[in-house]
Amino acid sequence: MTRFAPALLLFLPGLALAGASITVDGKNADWAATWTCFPDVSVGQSQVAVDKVCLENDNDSANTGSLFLLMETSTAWPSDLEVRYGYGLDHDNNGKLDQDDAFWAVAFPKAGDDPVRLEHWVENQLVGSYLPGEGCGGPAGSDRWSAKRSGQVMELAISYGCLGLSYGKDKLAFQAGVLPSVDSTAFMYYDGTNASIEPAAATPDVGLLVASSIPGTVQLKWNNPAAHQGVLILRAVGAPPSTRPIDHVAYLPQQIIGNAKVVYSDNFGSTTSAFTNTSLLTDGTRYYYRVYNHDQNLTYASGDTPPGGIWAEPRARTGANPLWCYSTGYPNTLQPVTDLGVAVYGAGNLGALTANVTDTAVVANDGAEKFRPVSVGAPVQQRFLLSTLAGNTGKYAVVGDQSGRVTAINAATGAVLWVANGGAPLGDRIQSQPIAQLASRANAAYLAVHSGHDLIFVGTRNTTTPNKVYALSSVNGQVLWTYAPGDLGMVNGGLMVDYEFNRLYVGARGIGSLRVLSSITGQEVAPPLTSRFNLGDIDTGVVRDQGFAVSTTDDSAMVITTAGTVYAIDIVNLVQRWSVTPGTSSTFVTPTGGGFIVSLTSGSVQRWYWSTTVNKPALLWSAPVPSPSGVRIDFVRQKIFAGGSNGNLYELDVITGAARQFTVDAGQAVGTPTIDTVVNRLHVGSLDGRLCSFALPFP
Amino acid sequence: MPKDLRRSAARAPLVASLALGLVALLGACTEPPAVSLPMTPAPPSRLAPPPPVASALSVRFLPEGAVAIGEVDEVVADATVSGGAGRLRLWMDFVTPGGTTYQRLGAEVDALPAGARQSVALSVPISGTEAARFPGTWTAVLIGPQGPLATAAFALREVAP
Repeated sequence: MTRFAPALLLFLPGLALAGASITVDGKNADWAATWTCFPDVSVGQSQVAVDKVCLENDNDSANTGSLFLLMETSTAWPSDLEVRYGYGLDHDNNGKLDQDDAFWAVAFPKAGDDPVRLEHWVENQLVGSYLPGEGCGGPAGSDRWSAKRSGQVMELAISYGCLGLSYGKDKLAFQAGVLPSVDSTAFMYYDGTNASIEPAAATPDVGLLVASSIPGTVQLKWNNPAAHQGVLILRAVGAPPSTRPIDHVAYLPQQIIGNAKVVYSDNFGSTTSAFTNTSLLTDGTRYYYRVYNHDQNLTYASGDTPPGGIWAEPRARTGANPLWCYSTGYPNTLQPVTDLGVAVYGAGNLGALTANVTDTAVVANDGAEKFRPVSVGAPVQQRFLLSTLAGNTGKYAVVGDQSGRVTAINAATGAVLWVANGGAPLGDRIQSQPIAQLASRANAAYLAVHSGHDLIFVGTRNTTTPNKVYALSSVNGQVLWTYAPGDLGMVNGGLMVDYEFNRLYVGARGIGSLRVLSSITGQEVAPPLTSRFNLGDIDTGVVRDQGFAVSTTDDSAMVITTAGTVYAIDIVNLVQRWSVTPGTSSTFVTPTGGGFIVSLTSGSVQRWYWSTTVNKPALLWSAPVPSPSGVRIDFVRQKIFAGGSNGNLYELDVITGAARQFTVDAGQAVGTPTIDTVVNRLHVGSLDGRLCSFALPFP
Repeated sequence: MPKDLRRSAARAPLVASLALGLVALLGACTEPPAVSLPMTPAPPSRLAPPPPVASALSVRFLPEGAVAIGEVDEVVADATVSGGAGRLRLWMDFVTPGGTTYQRLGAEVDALPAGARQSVALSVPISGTEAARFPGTWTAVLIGPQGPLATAAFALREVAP
């Protein structure tokens, strides 16, 4: 019996840390707490059917420890056979156990409990044979082996030095087996970098997988995780790939797996993170992809990120087909943000900012990623700001997210400029659209206090604690003032800035649901002006109408409540001008100068226009659109665009409401569109995760 | 002893056979066939693996008592899990009435001693968000390392026009 260096006994569920104390005595009592046991995958013809195989180690940074192997059977070891027990080590760390690797086995004679020798094999050649009591080819201090069996138990210990392992670098796949019977195990994964022996860990999926399509081409892009040796990409038609690849099996392109075909595979730590699929693609066909990251000897990830994989549908650039589409696989119904003639930006439940190039000259570059999606850590469910920021060069996207943070991202490079408040959440969630008061357009009263920086305003969406409104510095995202009255309900919609009077309009839930603050200080406007309007709960943004009756009359702040009433507030005197009740809407109303356009959840888009008869807006027309998105007006062609929940994009005539509709993705809700007036394009996202670009006008 | 085993022992070292056996077992990894696949799955293990992840899932609304889609601030999915080994990565999908995964949230829980349970709550905002466009019966799906563990349906009622 040999006792290897005892060490601190420290076990955590699921892994065995270095420091296991194992006595090689042919008994299993000291393995009782070991979790690192192989599932037995007996391949049949078992003369010696192994029921339990475990690994432990007691190695440390000095590499004086050993790797321990335990094997058990349900019956006693056969007494009429010479039996060998051992394992293979993935020495070249290529993710598989092959003949380049080392195999160690200990031989026991018939009816004997003590070994006769330890053998070391490489490339099918015996390179070492060691008798009991001898070393095993390791360096001084790490050159021992021992084995013992009794009854149904066999134990083997080999020094790290003999195995060629060393602490911190020994990250290997194992497989253990016994002869006769060729009964062997599934893979175990030893990771000396954290001193653990673990079953093969669940392999993470690739990150930020996207699919873009132009005629005849689908391109996939992704980020490889740290645990990565390669990817396997499956493609199917008609439905997502339905069958997962088998772990530890390598596949080549054109192989069939279930309903899908392998279109790409790589290995050996490949850094490839894009795949362009052009072969055998037919425009108008929807192609479903799953990208399976693999690691640890071809252990495949779920391939279910985004859920169900991702699809793309290349189409000819004809008719009402999109020029390009780009999918993140996550709902993307927010109104995109356009840098006119340059790029279009999106965000959604992916929780990342996306940027796509606008290129009217080179089709292959049109819609290409300007940079990889920039994760902000949580879903984004409100439109974001795209603007210059005083104190910095260039344009920036300022994004609020569901973790309560606000992030400024360089719109040209994707680099994060700052995360507001030093990275600490401003609230439970930021649902309101960040808006800015730009110093470059501000008046003297503003500049007297806030010279050199813009103010960025956001409100919080807290469900259990009072809400706040913050003014952030454009320079570094630091909080410059906070409005925290203690009775502010959650803020779900965008705020509105009045540059002339330096006022900030905040729509919220609860009492005093529309509040008017000084944008300079964050204090409510002083009496005799009204700072709080009890309009009822507000979930959408406050907007400014250019004139309440005609464009030359004073402006109004306009807002719709959750009860479906639209109010107009005189922005000079802060008094209510009028109200009408078209019905509930999930979006803000779009002002038209003396009226508005509203999307009603009941299933229509309506235009209301100033009526001299009733001295407030009256219904001009109503067009049926199922659960419509917000609208975008094409002022050039006098059309209104809205997305429907049925997957269609609706084009409505400004004067009559006469509608045409174009399919984006049947059955998948379409979001609020936006228009690039420089290149005459409409961009719109959808619940299926795509952002598509269409040429205007529609044919 | 069967002849083939004895022959193996006589002609080639058993260790080599072990090595070759292991290599043979992995042969599909090194030289995959051109078109057909070795589809034989591993037979079930005779060794009990770590206890499987078990779970229960329920859904509640905030504020309590809210029913209409415009009144529901948050949908909270409460999951109780037990079993598993090591750190456990869980996902919660909130699926729209049309079957599209609207939002996927992740959580990690530590390994649990036998019999122990741990609760995980993941929530999605509804009122004032795009989710408010989709009344009807939604589904929360708790997903573990091996796939879906539990589902719970919940109805977000449309606001009367």
